Amino acid sequence: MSKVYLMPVDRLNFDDLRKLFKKAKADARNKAASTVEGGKQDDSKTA
Amino acid sequence: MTDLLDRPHGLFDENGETLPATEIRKRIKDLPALRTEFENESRASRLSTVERRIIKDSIHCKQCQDNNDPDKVPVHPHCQCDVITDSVEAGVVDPDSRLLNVLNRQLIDIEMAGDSVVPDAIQLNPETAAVLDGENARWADLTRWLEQIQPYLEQGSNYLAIVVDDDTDEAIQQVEEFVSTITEDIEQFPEAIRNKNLWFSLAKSVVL
Repeated sequence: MSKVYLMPVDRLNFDDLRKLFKKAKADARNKAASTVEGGKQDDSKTA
Repeated sequence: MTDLLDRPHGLFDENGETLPATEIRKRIKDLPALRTEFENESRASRLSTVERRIIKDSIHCKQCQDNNDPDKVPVHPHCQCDVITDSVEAGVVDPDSRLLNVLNRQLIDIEMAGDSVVPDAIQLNPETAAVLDGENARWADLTRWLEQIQPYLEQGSNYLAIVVDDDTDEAIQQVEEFVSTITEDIEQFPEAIRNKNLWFSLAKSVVL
């Protein structure tokens, strides 16, 4: 499932935005890592 | 042949006047300094991979070249006047595009920064969409995007949205091309890449 992080435009500030960006980036990495891990496990099961 | 010989020889300035030897020497002397200046350009001010690709693929229409809007709101997102915007045209022709459709909390996980109330549904603004590789996205990319979409901030958008996407058509196509160039054995690799995309966009809340 995709995820959307929101920040109200009228309360836009760089500290919060930086945190949000870090979070989104970390999630993107974790998603990729878990997919690769899942793929490896599937491969080992097949083997 | 005669014509060629009749033409003036030498180096010329912007007005077509012959450059004096002293000026030529001065310009040659300045070259190393200019080169150093270019090489010292900060990483943050350089174009990202996504931006370079978009510039390469962009079409520079006359409307955008002659953009008279005082706020420089781009006429077409794919033109160089708005280099960071991506996938917008694809979104417009795609009826299932997430940029155009309402995203509600049953279909997508929505998280709000701070203590604000999470809206039931939002719609992303396709005019402001930018896609970056989640693995290599830099803070500088986000701040640059913010600078570029400044004119849009007061056009009815309530939220700034960062989307961690997992099934972007463009990403899938890139992955297929990339994987086919390296090996046919890594079947899971496309899935991994598919989950890396970050979308930046302005968004507005939608009443269902």
